[in-house]
Amino acid sequence: MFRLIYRQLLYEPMRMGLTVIAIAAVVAVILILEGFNEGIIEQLRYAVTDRDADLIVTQAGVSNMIATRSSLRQFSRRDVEAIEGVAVAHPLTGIPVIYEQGGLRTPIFLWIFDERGGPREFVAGNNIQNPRDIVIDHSLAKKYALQVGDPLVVSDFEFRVSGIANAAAAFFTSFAFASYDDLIDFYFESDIAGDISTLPLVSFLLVKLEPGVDRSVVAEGIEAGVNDADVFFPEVLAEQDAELGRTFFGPIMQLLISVGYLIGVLVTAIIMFAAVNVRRHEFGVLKALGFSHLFLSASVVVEALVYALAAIPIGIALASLVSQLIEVLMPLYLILPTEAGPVLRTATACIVFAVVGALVPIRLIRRVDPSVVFRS
Amino acid sequence: MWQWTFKNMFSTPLGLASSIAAAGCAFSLVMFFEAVFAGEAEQIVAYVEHADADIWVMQRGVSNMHMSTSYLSDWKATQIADVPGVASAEPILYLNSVVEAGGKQWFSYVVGLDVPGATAGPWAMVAGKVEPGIGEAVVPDVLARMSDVGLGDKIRITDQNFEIVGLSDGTFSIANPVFFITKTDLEDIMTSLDITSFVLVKAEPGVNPTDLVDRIESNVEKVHALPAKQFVINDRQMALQMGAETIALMTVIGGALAVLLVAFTIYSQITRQRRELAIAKALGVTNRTLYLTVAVQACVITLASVVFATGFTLIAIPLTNAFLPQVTLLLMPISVVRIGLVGVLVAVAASIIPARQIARVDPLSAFQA
Repeated sequence: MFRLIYRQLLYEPMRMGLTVIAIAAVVAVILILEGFNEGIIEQLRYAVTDRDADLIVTQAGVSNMIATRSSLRQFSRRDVEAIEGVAVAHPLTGIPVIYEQGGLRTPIFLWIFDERGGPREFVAGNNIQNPRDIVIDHSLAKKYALQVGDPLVVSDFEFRVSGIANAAAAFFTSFAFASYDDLIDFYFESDIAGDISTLPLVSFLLVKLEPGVDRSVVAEGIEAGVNDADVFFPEVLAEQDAELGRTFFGPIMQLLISVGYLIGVLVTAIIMFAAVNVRRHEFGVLKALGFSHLFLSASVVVEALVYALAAIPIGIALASLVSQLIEVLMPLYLILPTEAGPVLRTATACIVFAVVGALVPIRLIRRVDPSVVFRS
Repeated sequence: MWQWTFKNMFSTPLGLASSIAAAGCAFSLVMFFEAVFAGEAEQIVAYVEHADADIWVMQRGVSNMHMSTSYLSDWKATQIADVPGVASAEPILYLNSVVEAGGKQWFSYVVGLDVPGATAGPWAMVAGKVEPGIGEAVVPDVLARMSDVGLGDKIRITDQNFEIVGLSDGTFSIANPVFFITKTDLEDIMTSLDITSFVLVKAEPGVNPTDLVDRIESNVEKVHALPAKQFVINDRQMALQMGAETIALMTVIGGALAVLLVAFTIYSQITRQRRELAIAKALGVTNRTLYLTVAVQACVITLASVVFATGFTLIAIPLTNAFLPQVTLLLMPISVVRIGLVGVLVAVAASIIPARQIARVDPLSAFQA
């Protein structure tokens, strides 16, 4: 049987190539969708872990960092730093704002930081050094063709782009980073409230611990000693944001991935249907020579499996290539098409839909009359 | 020649149907993406669209509600109410936050209402009270069902619990289910006193909202006023712009897949018809005519795929909405037109490989055994 399949595959290399590419394209589409989903979740995790803290303090009852508002009391920092084992507590404030230029509006998440919590990697320029400096994510810079030194007006307040950060985005939103001095000016200039203390000044505290202390012990100390605040290990907070992302995007992505699987079954079905249809005469010869229907059906299924097995690595490579291209063109997105879970899931699905797809033309083989071979 | 083309195309109806279905699914993938964004964009503007205001007033430099931050001092709401031509000015406080209901977390709009109010609360109710009191909340009915909570149960916003006293209709989307609590409670959560996010203005009868916008901006310092229609347009544009890149991305991916599938189908047919094509060439049919027949086949299959995709999506949308109520899908005619145009490009691209194959067919092969 394997010799028959081998010969068949080599008989028309162009056709085999196209077939494998078509299945590989389906695998790639599914992997890109899966990678898109994984990337969204991973960006949410990075958004927390990139803030570089041993512990993160939030407003009591707030258990997420992204997509939520946390507001700590003015004296929280002093109270946290008074806990034994805490070296320093850096303030961090998050404010969602809309950037508008040329009629195009984009939500950005503005992080206000002092020493910690700022951008990690730079594509161009520097970190904040002067008043009104702002660091923006690469995706925002690309979208609006912004460069280092350009003005950036948010809510009527003019910043100057001092640096362009890499991989500083999550939740389809680019991040920007500014200083506390500018936050105060931003509030005053906007004339938004008489008493500035009523506005969000500190959302989170990024706690750095003294060397050798136990994180859990310090966390318990903060919980017990600081009112109106909760404390988290960064990885726990990151996982809670990831879970929120799953609730938010999960149903949509699962829906689209399901459509991807449906395409997979249909594609394999048309490929195998076309392959069998074209070779009806040959199947007639084989039947006339005494090959059973079961044998021929099995050979079609094995052939489909060979296509699938050849297509899986090509699909993975194609998905990686396309993902990298997308990330270059649209740096807002992180696509992770080669994560073990999705790859395994997709590869298994590919094998399953190869078998399911191969079952469609088996009816054709059953109907082939061996006498057809004597007619032409 | 044309008769032969169509006869051949329909000679294997099951194969043709599979091809159309597969390419149609690739287009459906794009349509689903567009439907998700269009549906969510509609739901994102549901609150601002239904709020009974003629004008929205906000912080200067802000021009929409979704994912924005706007702060105004409370006294500005009083100043706005005093502007000639203003019938009423109702302040709301607004917060994007995570709300916990029935053990699940939801990214939400929380609207703090100045109670009693007339313009800013829920516009349709399934059960319970329209206006929450202190410690009470009105929650979207869909969310309540998905979280398995009801009237009298509790939801949690930051560290405060609220009793559900009303279930509102039309206020749910996955991007922003709208929760209503009192402004006092929200101020407490935000630890922000005497501020407001937006002021919803009703104009006196006969007053032109556009004129009133100018009057508000000149009488009250550092505010931005917008007619309600423009405010809705801004929010919708924002939501659609957020999805535009993703939709473009999926269109390219889905389109590329469709090109491959249509090309594969035609390639298979031509492989099968190689001898007949050689005969046609030997009888004097030009390459140009044969290319044209391939292009027509590609167009027919592609356009049939677009029709299939539209039908499939139209059937799938209500089913999806029934099984996944958290996803709002909306197929816009413009999406179908756009995908139809992409389909034409797909058909042209899909014709290239089979056309090259035809060019290589040797007419002499018709006379070989």
